[in-house]
Amino acid sequence: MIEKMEKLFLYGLSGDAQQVLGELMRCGCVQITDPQMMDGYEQLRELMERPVVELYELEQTQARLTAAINVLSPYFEKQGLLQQKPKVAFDRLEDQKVLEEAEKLCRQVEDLQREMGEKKSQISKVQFQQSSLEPWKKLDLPLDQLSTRSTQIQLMAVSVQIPQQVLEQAVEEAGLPAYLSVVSEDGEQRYLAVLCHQSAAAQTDELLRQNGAIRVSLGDWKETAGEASRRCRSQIDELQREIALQEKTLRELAKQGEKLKLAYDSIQVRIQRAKARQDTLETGQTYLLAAWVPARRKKDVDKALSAYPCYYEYHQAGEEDDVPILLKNNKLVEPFECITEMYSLPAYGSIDPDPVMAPFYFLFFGMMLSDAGYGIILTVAGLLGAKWTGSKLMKMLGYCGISTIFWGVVYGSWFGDSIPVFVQTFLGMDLTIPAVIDPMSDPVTILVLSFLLGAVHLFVGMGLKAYLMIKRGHPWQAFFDVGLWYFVLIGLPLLLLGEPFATVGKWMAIGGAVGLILTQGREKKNPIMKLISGVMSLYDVTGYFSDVLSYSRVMALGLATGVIATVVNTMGSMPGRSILGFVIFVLVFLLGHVLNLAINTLGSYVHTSRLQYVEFFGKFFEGGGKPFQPLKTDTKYYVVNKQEAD
Amino acid sequence: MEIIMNMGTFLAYAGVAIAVILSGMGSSKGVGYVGEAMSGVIAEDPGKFGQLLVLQALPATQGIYGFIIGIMVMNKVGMLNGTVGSLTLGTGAYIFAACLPIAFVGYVSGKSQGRVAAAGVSLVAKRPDQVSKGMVAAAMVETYAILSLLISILLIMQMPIARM
Repeated sequence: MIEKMEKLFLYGLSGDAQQVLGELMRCGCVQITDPQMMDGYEQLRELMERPVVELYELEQTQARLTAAINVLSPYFEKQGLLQQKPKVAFDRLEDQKVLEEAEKLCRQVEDLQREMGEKKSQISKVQFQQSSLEPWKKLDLPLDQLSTRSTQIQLMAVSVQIPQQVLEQAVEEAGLPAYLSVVSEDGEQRYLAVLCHQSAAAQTDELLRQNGAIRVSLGDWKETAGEASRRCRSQIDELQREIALQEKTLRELAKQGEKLKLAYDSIQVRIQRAKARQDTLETGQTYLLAAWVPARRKKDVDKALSAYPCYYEYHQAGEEDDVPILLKNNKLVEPFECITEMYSLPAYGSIDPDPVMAPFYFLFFGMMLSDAGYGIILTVAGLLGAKWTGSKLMKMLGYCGISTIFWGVVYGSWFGDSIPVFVQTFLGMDLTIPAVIDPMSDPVTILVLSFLLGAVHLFVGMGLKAYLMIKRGHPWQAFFDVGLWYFVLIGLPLLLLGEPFATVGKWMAIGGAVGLILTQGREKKNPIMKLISGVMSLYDVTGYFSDVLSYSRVMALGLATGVIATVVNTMGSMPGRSILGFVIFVLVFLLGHVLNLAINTLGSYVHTSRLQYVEFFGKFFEGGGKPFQPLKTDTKYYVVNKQEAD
Repeated sequence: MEIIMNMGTFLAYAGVAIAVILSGMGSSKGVGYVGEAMSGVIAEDPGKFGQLLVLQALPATQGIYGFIIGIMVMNKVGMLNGTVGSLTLGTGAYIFAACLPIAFVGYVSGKSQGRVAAAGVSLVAKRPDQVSKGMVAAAMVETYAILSLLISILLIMQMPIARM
């Protein structure tokens, strides 16, 4: 069923606007429309304008909260995969104290994080210094005493590619008063301390640089390189201890992480409300708001608004209004809505196909999967999954599992022929599971049954088209376009059944066909064109027959499930009657049936959907509806309780 | 001489082979196309893997249909438990013919379904909520594989087996 919608116009005092929006949000049954969609928007715009809302600050705060939550998240308690979100009362989200506490906590986390960041960058700085000191550890001179009045020591590094003799020879040939001492050497560089007379310092330096050496400066150290390196080490240790301490503080703070999450949701609600406020019109003292409300929920809106000084009225939806679609069905049909939603929501003023589609979906899915064992698994998994995730699709698959069990019993299939095979292989007894229809020995019966059910499905679809036409005041159209086809389509198969049905069928088909020839050209002006269109319309009969033939997939997929399951069991039982054989049987059974269940559940889902979309919806469905998106609390970490008292 | 005597049995074996080979080739190509298209999307958003895997599984069915026909023939004439004996040339030829629908249609349908599903991958990349439409579009191609599977099944089930 498509919910009837009414348009709400609400005039109130600007001072109350936030609270009123909060109440409406709590109702969760009001979709605020863009004011441009209001009637007479042009005139209204001269009197009112759209309010300016401070979103920036809220979004800023939310971004900070997100960052803080991310910092703390490694320290949160691990949540179970299927754990449900905790509940919270709406009033609690409105509580200013929540934000204040979170603000305090947030600042603490931010400070800690900043300090830790600083320390970490300091550590890498010190580590770099330490690594630059490393090659000079053997130089046992304090680093600030490398020069005397007449001599100086220059630290230099040179690539190991350049032999030491080359450098020494160069110094000797130039006749400089200098001595090269190798301090250390690693895989790439050799480290030299160059002792020379002050007067020749610049020359020596120049000469060595020409030969590929680089000057090294280590910074201001008072001790020897070894001592300096040790000091760096202890500095790093100290910093790391401090970081560990701060991490512990973070871990402590993470225990209060719930506060941040609550504040995040609280801000989220405020942002949503502020955005809704942007869709109102404002004079300075009063505001105007237009919204869609399901007619059934008007009472809730009345109750929510009763405490505030405001005026409101409801209008019926107009012809040209783009009314949002909300589907309402009973508990059994509701999960099947997901199939229609995937295709398209029905247009407002047409019909919701779900109550009619659901039984057929249920039936065809069961016939395609058709194994009692798979059905049991699907039912349990689907219903449990739906309970944990709240997914409509899961619930629908769970329901379809029941149909699968039923058809599995009809076909005598329990994980294929696993029971007889097991009993025969391991107990040596013969046992047959009774089947109402055995698909392996009697496939034609199932094929005919599929066609018959398919024909019923199509007829119901055509009936819905007729219903829509009658509802819109065109009963004759319904008779011409659907009723006459019923005559033809029922008459033709009757011809195959022999007397006396054949005679009845013959006259029904002829009557229907003549009717179609006379009526299907009724929109054409020219009488010859009328006749041609009428005759041409009979060609559609091929369309109807190919639609029916399409239902052969119901039988084919059902058979496929059974054959694969049988193959799995046969393979499993091949090693024969032994302990090892039993183990292999169990392994093959598990692997094979899990695969078969997966691929055939997917196949059944896709092909049953296709039968609905192409064959069934094609007859009558008018899509393109926009979903109803009410203003409601769309929170991330908590579920908001409907009741005020928690 | 012996090869002519055993021609019927040979044709039955050839039927099994061609049903499995051609439909398996079609599915391999189809699944391959989707797999190639998938990796680009997964690189962007690994979370879409589940949805894409469903699309990739769709063209896998033709190969399974060919396998089903293969198994049915093997079961029917006793290739599984070695009681196949020597079939008459007629029976062998019938079996070979019965295997052809799923063999050829399975090949083309598997390949084409793979193309459609691969296009569905780019649909998922842009609009993950529309995955079911990509799936249904791919399922349209499978219709003909199902029809040919059906014909192959019906032909084999109702076939009289004559041995020399």
